[in-house]
Amino acid sequence: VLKNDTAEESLDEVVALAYHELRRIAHLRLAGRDRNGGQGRTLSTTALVNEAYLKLAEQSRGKWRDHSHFLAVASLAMRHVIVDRARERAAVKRGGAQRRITLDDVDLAVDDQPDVVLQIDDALDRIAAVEPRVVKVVECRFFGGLSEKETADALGLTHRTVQRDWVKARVLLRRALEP
Amino acid sequence: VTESSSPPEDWRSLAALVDTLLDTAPERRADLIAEMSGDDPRRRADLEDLLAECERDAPLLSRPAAEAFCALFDDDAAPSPTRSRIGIGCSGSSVAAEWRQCISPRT
Repeated sequence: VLKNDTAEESLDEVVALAYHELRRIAHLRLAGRDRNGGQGRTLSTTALVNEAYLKLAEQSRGKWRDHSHFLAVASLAMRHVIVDRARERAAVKRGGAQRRITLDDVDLAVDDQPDVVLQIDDALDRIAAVEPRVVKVVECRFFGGLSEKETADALGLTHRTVQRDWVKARVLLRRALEP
Repeated sequence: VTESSSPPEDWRSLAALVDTLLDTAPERRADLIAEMSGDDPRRRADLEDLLAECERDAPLLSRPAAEAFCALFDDDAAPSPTRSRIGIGCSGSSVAAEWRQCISPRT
């Protein structure tokens, strides 16, 4: 994915850039939303990522190979943003039994959400040791909100491979989340 | 194949099995499973379960994470030992509010 894929530091750098830009833009959008009385402004993952790209593509020219490259990096950054937030919430929550989750869960109790995110994150870390590409697909599809086509472009895979890795991701995540 | 708590070292072979099943035309998969399981009924059941699992949805992954876990970013939904609300209705414009904490400056 990286322009220079041998440089671990480069990945850290571009993910950090994306991470902070995603948060910054979200803040600006929310401020505008508040001025409008909370009406008419929405904030979707896709819109956030696209706006971050427009800004970073200009400011950090050369760090992104292209829009697809940015989408992959932004998806990883989104995973960090959400997992960091879950850690903060879990620390505040303190105590209580940890709820075991399944992929069939839909409407999660608010108090369970930090644990759920952290369990998924841990499961993905373990899967990455065995099937790293599958985890990249999950980052793009689930954390980055990318379509199958966008994921394929972002990771340099065929559409069919993305579809297949998504199936594998579901199978492996079910195994990894089992108690 | 479907033993619970399968160790990570089994996951690579599991992924390879998924490839094998999905590489085979749907109308040929029953024959393939029969060939792969031979006279072992347990192996056959495991493979049939795995095939069913490949076709099974995962509702938890059906929405982007920021939407599925939007309550993480909602101050009003901060954890409370006496409260357990259902995190529904977090799509659309309300997602913006849930991002509030996420974008607060960090030290």
